[in-house]
Parts: sequence; C-alpha cells; structure tokens
Amino acid sequence: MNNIAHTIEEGKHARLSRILPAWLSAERFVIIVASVLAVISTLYFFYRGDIVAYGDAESHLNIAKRVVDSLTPGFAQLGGIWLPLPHLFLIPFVYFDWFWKTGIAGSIVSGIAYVVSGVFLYRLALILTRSSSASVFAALVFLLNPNILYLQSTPMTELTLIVFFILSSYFFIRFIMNDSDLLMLILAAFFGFCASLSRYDGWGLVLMEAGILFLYYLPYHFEKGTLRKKSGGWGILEGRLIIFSSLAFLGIGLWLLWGFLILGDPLYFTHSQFSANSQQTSWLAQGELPAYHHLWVAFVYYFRTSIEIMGTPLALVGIAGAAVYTMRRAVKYRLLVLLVLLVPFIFNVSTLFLGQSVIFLPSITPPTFSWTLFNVRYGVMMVPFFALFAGYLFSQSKRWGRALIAGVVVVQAILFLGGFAPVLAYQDGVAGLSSAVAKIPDAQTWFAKHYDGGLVLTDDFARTISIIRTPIKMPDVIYVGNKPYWSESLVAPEKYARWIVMQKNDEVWKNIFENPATNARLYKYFNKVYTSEDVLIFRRIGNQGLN
Amino acid sequence: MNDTQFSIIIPAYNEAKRIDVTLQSIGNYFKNKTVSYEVIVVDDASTDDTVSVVREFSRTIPNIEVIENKKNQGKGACVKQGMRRAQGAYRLFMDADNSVDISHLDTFFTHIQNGADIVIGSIALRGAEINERSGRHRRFLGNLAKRLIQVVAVPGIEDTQRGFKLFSAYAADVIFPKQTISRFGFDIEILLIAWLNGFSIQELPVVWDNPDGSKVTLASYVTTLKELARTAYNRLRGVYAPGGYHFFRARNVIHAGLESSLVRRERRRQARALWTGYAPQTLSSGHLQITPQGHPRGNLRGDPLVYLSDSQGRREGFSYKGDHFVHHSELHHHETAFFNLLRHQKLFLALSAGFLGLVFLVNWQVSLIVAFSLLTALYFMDLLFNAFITYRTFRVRPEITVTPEEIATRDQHAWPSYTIFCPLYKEWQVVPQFVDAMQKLEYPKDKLQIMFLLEEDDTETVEKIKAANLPAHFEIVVIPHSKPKTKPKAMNYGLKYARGEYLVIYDAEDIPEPDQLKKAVIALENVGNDVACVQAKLNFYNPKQNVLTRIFTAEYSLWFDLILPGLQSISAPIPLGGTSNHFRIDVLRLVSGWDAFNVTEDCDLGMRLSRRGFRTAIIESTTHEEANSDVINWYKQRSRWIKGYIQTYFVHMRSPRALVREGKGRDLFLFQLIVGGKVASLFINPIMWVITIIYFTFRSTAGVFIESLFPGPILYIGVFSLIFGNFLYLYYYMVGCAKRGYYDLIKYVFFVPLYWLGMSIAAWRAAYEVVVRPHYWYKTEHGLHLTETISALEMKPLSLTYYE
Repeated sequence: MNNIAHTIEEGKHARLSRILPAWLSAERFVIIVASVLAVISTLYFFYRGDIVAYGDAESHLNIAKRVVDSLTPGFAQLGGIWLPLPHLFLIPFVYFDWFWKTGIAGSIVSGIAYVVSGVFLYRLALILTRSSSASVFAALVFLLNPNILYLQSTPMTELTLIVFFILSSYFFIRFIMNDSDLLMLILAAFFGFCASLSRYDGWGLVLMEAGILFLYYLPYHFEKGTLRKKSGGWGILEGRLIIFSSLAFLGIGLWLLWGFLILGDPLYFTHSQFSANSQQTSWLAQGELPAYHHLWVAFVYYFRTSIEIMGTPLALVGIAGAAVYTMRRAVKYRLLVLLVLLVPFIFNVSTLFLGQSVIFLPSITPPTFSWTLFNVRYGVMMVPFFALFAGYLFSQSKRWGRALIAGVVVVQAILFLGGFAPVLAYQDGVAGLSSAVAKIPDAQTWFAKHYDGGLVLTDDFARTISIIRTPIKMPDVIYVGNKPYWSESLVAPEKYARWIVMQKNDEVWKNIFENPATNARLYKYFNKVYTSEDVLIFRRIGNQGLN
Repeated sequence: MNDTQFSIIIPAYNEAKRIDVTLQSIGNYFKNKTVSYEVIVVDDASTDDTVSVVREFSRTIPNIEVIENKKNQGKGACVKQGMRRAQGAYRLFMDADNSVDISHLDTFFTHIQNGADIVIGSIALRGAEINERSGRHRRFLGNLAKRLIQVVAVPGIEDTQRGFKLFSAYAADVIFPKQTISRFGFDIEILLIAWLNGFSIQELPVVWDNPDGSKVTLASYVTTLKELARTAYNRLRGVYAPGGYHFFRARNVIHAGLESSLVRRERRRQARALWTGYAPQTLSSGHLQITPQGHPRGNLRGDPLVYLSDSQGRREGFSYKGDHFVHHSELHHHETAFFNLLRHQKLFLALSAGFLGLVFLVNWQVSLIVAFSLLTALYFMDLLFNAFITYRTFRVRPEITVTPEEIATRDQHAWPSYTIFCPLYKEWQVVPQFVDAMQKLEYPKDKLQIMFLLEEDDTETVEKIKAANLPAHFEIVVIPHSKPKTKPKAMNYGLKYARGEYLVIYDAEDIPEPDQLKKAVIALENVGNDVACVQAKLNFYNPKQNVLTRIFTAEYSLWFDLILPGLQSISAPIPLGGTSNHFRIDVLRLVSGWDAFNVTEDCDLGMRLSRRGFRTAIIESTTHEEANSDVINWYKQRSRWIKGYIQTYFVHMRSPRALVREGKGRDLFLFQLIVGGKVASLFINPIMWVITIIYFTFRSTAGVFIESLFPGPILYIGVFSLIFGNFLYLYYYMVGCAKRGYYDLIKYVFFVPLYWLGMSIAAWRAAYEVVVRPHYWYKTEHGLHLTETISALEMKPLSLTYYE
C-alpha cells in the first residue's frame, strides 16, 4: 500500500476524540453529521416552502418527470440545453407525483451528493493535511455553509456538480501523488466524465485535468532558466493522456452527438434560443453584462461572489491556507494540486469574461441595473476550495492559531445567523431574478383554482404558470417537447387542448393569438376565461377535450 | 498392498433358510475366476441359525467372514459395517435371499471399468425381469415412494431399493462413513451421498427373483418416509457434502473441498491401476478391448465405438466406424470434442430451432422483439460483468507475485524436478531461439527435463534436432502417427514419459522470463493444493512489427493483465493460455491430460480443471511470444481458436444439469459469459452494427421499423450497451496496454473495431470448420518476425534421450 492509500486508510479509522466511542471514527462522524444536517435543513426549507423557490428548480424536476411521465415520454425529453446527468438521477424519484411536486426528489439527489461530498472532502483534506482533526474541520466548514445547506435541499444541480468535482479532484490528486496507481487516473476520468454531464463547469474540470496531465508528463522541465529533457519520453504522456481523455471527454462527445442526433445541431446547447448564451445576448443589448470582455471585472465579480458565499472571514482563512500551502516547497506538485482545485474559479471568470454567463451581486452590481441579485449561487463551487485550505491552515497552526481560526468560525456563524451576512444563494432563490416564488403571477393562482382537467397547451419555457403549483398532471401538458401534439396544436388548437395558457410574446401567443387564421379557430372553439396584462387563459367551449 | 479384488457384503437377519443358496451361488461364480474375493456376512442379531449356516461355508469359501451383532440395528447399519470392514478394490452388497444373482457382476464390473463409480441394480428399467408376488397396494406405495425419492433426494434414478449395488473402493470409502440411516431408507441416503460427491452412478436392469415376496411391511414405508425426511434435512445441513459455491468463498473452504476432490480422483485412479495391474482385463475375457454397454441417459447407445488399450491395459484411444483414433488419454470420448454434439444436444438444438421457427412463423415481429430484448439483456449483463472483473483486477490484484528475496530464500533448498514440453511441427527454424531461451532459465539443469514433442512425419525437424549438439536435459519424443494429429495428442503422449513434479508447456517461439520456473514452483508451493495450475502471462516480443502485431499485443495485454486476473479474483473457471501454464503433474494425470480432439485444448483443460474442483491462478511473470504479423496467418489462427471455443462450449454443455446438481451452477453461469458469450458475440456483433448503421443512415425509411423492434426500455438499454459497451471494451484494451506499460500502443486501440470485424469473419470460418473438419489443426506459422532464416543447427549430436 502506498503512502497516500495508507493515510486514507488510517484517516478512515482515526478516532476524533477519546470522549467519543471507538466506533465513531472521524469519517463516520463526518457521515453522520452530514446526514443529520441534510435531513434537518431539508425539513427546514420544506416547511418554509422554499425547496422549489428557484425557477430552475422546477424546470429540473419537470424535465426528469417528462422522461417517464408525459404525453410523449422518453429520453428525448432531456432536451439539449441543460446537461442530463442530474435529471437522470431525479428520474426514479420524480416518478412519484408527491416527490415531484414537493421537490423532495431533488432534495434526495442533492442530499446524497452533499453527504458524499463531505466524506470525500474529508479524504481530500487528509491527503493535504495528514491530520484527521483538520480534515474534519475542513469538512465541517463545507457542510455547515448555509448556502450549501440550502442548495442541498433543492433540486438545483450545484451539489451534483460539486460531488463529481470533489470526487474527480480527489482521485486525480491521488494519481498525481502516486502515478503508478492507474486506477486513480481512471476513476478521476470517470468522475470527470460525470461532472462534464452535470454542469458545463465539468467541461472546464476535465480540460484542466488533461492540461495538468500534459504538464505532469511533459518530458521537459525548466532548470536554471533553460529547458531540459527529462527521462522518459512522449510515449507515457501520449498513453496516459489518451487513457484519461478518452473517458473524461466521452461525456462531452456524447453530448455533442446527442445534440446532433436529437436536435440537429451538435452545438444546440449554445446556439438555441433557450441557451444561456442567448440570454446573455439580451443582457448585453441592455448594457447589463458588466464582465463581458473585462477580465478584471469578471475576476472581481466571481471573487466577490465566491467569498461572500463562503462568508468573507472564513474565505480569507481559506485563502491564507492556500497561500501557506503554495509556499511549502517540500510539498511536491502543490501547484498542480492548486490548479485542479481552482478550476471553478478559472471556469467562472472565463465564462463571465466571454459573456457566457452573468452574475449580479448586490454589493457590486450598479443599482441602475434591472436586477441586482442573480446567479450568485455559482459562488458555491469555491466553497470546497476555501474549506479545504481553511482545514490546511488549521493543520499548520499551533494552539493560538487554531483558537483564532475557531474564533473566525464563530464570528462567521454570528454573521450568518444574525443576518449581517446574507445567505446569497437562498436570497436569490426567494427574492432574486432566479426566483419563481418572488413573482407568482395572479394567472397561476387563478388557474390553480379553476383548472378542472384536460390537456393544457402552454409554452413552458416562458414559465407562464408553475405546473407543480397547480393540480395539472404532467401528461396533461402540451409543450414544445411533445412534438406531434405541440405542432398540431399550434395549427389547430382545438385538436387536443382543453385549456390554453399564453403569455405575451411566447410561442403560443405568437402562433395562435397573433396569427389571424388560428386566432379565428381559437375564438371559435375556446372561451377566454382569464385576462391580465400579460397572460390570457382560454378554456374549450363545452366539455370537449376532457379526458 | 492388499490384493483382494472383490468384497461381497451380505446383510442377514434370520436368513438361515435362504442364505445357503446365495453363498453357494457366490462360490460357484468365483470358482472359475482368477480374481481374489472375500465374502462378509453381517448378521443383524438373528434369532435363527443364520450364523452357523454361514460358518459351514468356510470350507468352500475360504475368505468368508461373519460379523455378529448382539443387537438388531437394521439393514443399513449392517451394510455400513460390512463396507467399512471390506478390503476389496470393488465392493458389492447383495441381499441374502439371492433375489439378484451374483452372475450380474460381469456386466456390472464392465461398467465400473468404463468409468462409473457405482453400478446399481434396477427392476424399473427396460430389460429387467421380475419374479415376485406383491400386492397392488405395495406396487402403488412403491411407485409413490419412487416419485418422492426422485423429487426429494436423487433425481434420475428409477429404482433405489434393489439389494445389489457395486461400488469402487474409493466411492465406498467416501460414502459409507457419511451414512446415518440404519434401516431401509439407507439406500436412498447412500445414493444421495454419492451423487452429491460427484460420483457417477450407473443403473442397470437386473433379474429380480423373489418368489416369497418382500419382507418390507407397510410400517417399513412409514419408517422409510421418516428416514427420507431425515436425509433431506441432513442434505440441507451439508452433512453429506460441502455446500455449493458462495460468491466469494473463504479460501480454506475451497481448499478443503477441493483437496478432497484431488484425493478422491487420485484414489480412483489407484483403484483402477490396481485392477489393471492384475492379470485379466475383464472378468469375462482377457481382451484388451472394452465395449461400452449403454448409458443411463442413452448417450452411448448406438455409438459404434470400441476402446483401444495399450499393452499395459491403459485406455489410449478408440476405433470408430473403422477409423482408429489414438489420443493417448484415458479421457472418456464423451469428455472430448470427438463428437461436436451428442445425440441429446442435437435433439435439443433441433427442437429449439423448430420451436423458434414456429414462433417466428406465428408472429415474426414479436419474435424479433423478444430476440433483441434477450440479446440486449445479455449484452448489458456482459458489460456489467466485464466492468466488475476489471475493477476487481485493480482492487484485489490477484496475480501471485514472487519476489527475488523469496527466490533467494528458496534457493537454499533443493528445487523439484521440472518437465518442459515443447511441441514442434515443421518449425525447426525457431529451435535455436527456444534452446537459447531454455538455457537462460535460472533453474538447476539437472532438475530439468526439456522434451521436444515431434511428429513422426516431420523428419526434417527430427533430424535437425537429433543432429544438434544439445545438452543432456533436452530430450526428443517422436509421436507415432495416429489420428488426431494435434498438439494436445502429442502432449498426452509426452505425459507418459514426463518425470517432473511440475510440468510446463512452451511453444517453440516462446521466451519465458528466466526466473519463471522458480516463481511457479514457489507459487504452487504457497497456494493450496486446489490450485492445479499457475498460468504465466503471455505477451509479445514483436509488438511493433506492424499494426496487426500492435493490436494483437493490446489484446493479449487486456486478456492476460486484466481479464484473467479478474476471473481469478472471483474464482471463475479460467480458459488457459496455450503456453506457459505450469501444472502439478499428478493433477494433470488425474484429469487424464488434454483433449486431443479439441483445437483449443488449453481452454478446455482450464474448464475441466475447474469442473473437477481445481483452480488456476495467474502468476506475475511473462512469457514473450511471437505476435502473428500476417493477416491471413492471423485469420486462420483465430479461426482455430474460435473453433476450439465452440468445441469447448459443446463439450462442457453436455450435462449442464449435472453441473447444477454438483453445486457448480455459478461456474456454469460464468462459463456462459466467458466462453459461450464470447463466441456468440462474434456472430451477433456484426448484426447489431449493421442495424445501427442502417438506423442512422436510413433513419427516415428504416428508422421506424427498427425502433419497433426495440421497445422503450430495451432501446435504452441497447443504446447504453452500444455506446458504453463498445467504448468500455475499447477502453479495456487501453487500460491493458497501460498496465503492461505499452503506452505507445494505446492510440492503435482506436483500430480495434476493425480487428473485431476480422474476428467475426474468422468466427464464420470457425463455424464452417466445426461442421466440416472439426479436428483439423491449422498450424500457425512462426518465425515471421525473424529477419534472417537460421540456416541450420550446426551442432554435433550429443546424448539425447529418444523415445519412440
């Protein structure tokens, strides 16, 4: 058994304290704490009604639900914008209506990811610190972060990415430290593959890992300013790079193939009108994409977001820990390790810079912008980094240093609990632009009250009404993904639908309401039963169309 | 050594009036025989003069013995007593009333000699004659009991209760100590014990002459029923035989179970040797030919086949339809690939094909859906299985590793003798390379016996090697011409002259690592006796000769560095590689060597070892071979390998039910994946690829039809298997290369799909050959890597041992 494997094995069974019973090893302690926290926080947010606060949360649930239960079920319902793995995980749970409508299906998936993340963060910290207490500290910093606690209670996909990010990094770092253990590289590639099918950040991860592998095996190195050839050759670099990349990049390849086969465009995820790229274009047109092609602004936006998500005092401890780690010359490959762990930072700064994503952080977004709180949850990707290096600093500190760090934790807790530091990911969910609950339209309330069965034609991408907050069952919805029903209904709306819900300028509005030919049919077969400034609801005359 | 050949055990209770006829008959029967025998009468506390009547026979039957019991114990207990006292190589128990006459022994013994361990008399088979008065109720109860016995205890035996059963000494020694039932139910119990311990039981019709009727009362049926229940309970408790395999069975359990199997085989062999060492070859005649009389399942019926024995009475072949086949092995021809399919297999296949054809005619679409669903499920299972064993290879690292320190320590003691086989046919060019490799082996030369196995008609090679100045530990064995002309036949012949404690096979172009023999010895000494063979890894010394050799190398790296260790880690049957398998020679002889009719005798032997309770382990040492660099040569070689796999599959699927009964259901399942699935996939893969290509190329026209054949979940599993299955198989090749350190070969793995295509084409040739010339051995050309032809072995003759 090599050194690292030995450290991990010891760390698994290490006793945290003599006061605790012998069976309660450090790792078990982490598992138990994580599980208890997951359940408590899920219950807390469930009773507050915030599990599906994010608009995206419902969309994730609906996508998964449609695969198994819709007018046209099947994997094509996964679509081509969001990566599919989180939805695949949701499928066994959303099959049951209660789990779907309450969002608990998502809490289960995110909760499992949260617990596994805690355990592997503990193990990752063990590799770096070789101290079980410092590793438990690192895990707790991660587990107790209120933004993480909130997101792990929801169907959002951040925790799914985090767990694969941590797993892939863990195995990759183990491989870097002992490259004779090929299984570690394969596992790193496998979890990189999973990450790349969870969120696009995963693409950055596998790309970075491949780059690091290249550097690691490059048969040259700098010595006193000159490039010198190392022993070994290009063969091992080529071989190991292929071994890693062919698995790690498989997910990306499959996603492009999926886009091509199902949607006709391998780059559908970025070309589509529903893509983040298209969204950003409209922000840009409004002059509200501050980081676009401004590297420094992009850096500041993401840096501030990540430290505010972590809690500034604790984030600073983490940064100090990273600085100490970087300066430890005795630690081999420390820069490569840092590079792996900094992937979320590099990725997010890059996407902000390229205009592929946008963050509105209240503390720095100009108040003239239409929204000042949006997408701040991206900052949670850096929580593992801060937690890990906070743990590292803890391991490197003596008694007073540890007391100081503990003091920072207490201060941070007071700041969060006292409301001095906002829990941004939660705030965005309940009140930001990402929120679905902040702006529940009157039309939805009306519809929930008056819906009496039958198929509902609606443009779900416009999120006119929330399906899970009404009594509609998923197979009663006709949306753009139900191809024959959708396209036929846009020509002859009476063919299937009993209800038509349209919002100004959505696809139903444009194709039926604004099209004179179909407009005539609309009024021939339907009564307008609800009218507001933006939303119109039509109901079929008589009882036709009732299943 | 005890010379007694037959022990006749007679349980007796108040048989004074009838036993004299029985003993008289026995005396007369053996009077004209030259075999030795003993008669043991076990008296069950008779209240009449049974004992004194028996004692009177001591004059006419010198080896008669009476065991007197003070207390009545039951027939079962008496038989057990007698069997445990008996000394004979074959032990018969018969009833005291002579209801089955001793003259049946002639036929019974012939069957024992033909391979059965136990032969029992039966009145339920065609050909039996019954002379008995019995009431209707008794017949009814008898039939009821028979059915119950078949369900609860021993399926397939029509009549368990006849008091005329012949056992080999070893079978008796194993069975009777485990017997717990003392009364009439003991027959069922001993047959169950026999069956659970893997003994073959032959049931033969007898003449049943019992005019007075049976002593069995209605109460006896109730007792027997109780005893049957107890037998079933004992079976569940594992009293009779070690339980079936557990998935990850503790090593000591395997060891204990399999070691007994080793002993069992050895003693069976000794028992046979004891007999064949004795003057006459059968009871009825002194001919060297033994004609099989029939088979309980009817497999042998009608085979116009006559066995041939050598001058020492050992079976060495058979004649079939006028052709002589001398394979130099005692392997029963039903354990060989002489026949591709036996009658019942043909029948099964014909019925299956007929049924499938009918189903297809009735509803072809549903039939196709079901067929594709099954295939998809199988592919998916295979995908999971391969992923699992690959993971196991990494996690468990099951290969046996021997360190230089261990070798150094072992060097202080004497090394055992080692035989090396080098079968050669018309390839003398590579001999110098082989001799060089052998000379580099770090093993005491005085302990080595290196045998060139040469064919009689290959005079050039014989002459070249004869003329060479080879050291004394090189020997030449010229195999007399006979059918089949195969490498395994040559090895069977060589086995007769092998003197080593261990034996390894190297092909002429092999270059083993110099310390491989020492590593193998240490490995075999350190593992349990159940490990009969350690397989060294094979790889190539010419991987970079061309693209074919590169991919071939990747394939071998996958097979020997990932798959086989993975299989070992789950104690699965391992298809051996053609060379570098190091055997304990006694085990090799116990399992009767190689199947000379199988063109991948290595794969077959691996399966046979496993079936007989032995294991194969992989050792961390490599033999380098020559990768086939010529496409046509590769194609023919691959066809032979696939043909051999097909043969192996047929041979080992002759009695799958027996495997399940023997507790080897898990091995049977793994065999389907390792051999059956591997071959089947070669035929099915192209069909699936074509369907996929058609689907994507002509999606607008053929898409809907193809989709209709793969309903929802099946489509998803199928697509998953298609994408991830193909990817993972390619990936395994890459990992295999990486594990072996062949990093620069990894990129060539992307060409492997073409290689698979070649394998599928070769599979069709193999299928053709299985039918047309199943035993034809395409000899792979070696030496294609050599840049210059070696002119000759220009060395002067030295002392060579030379067998002909």
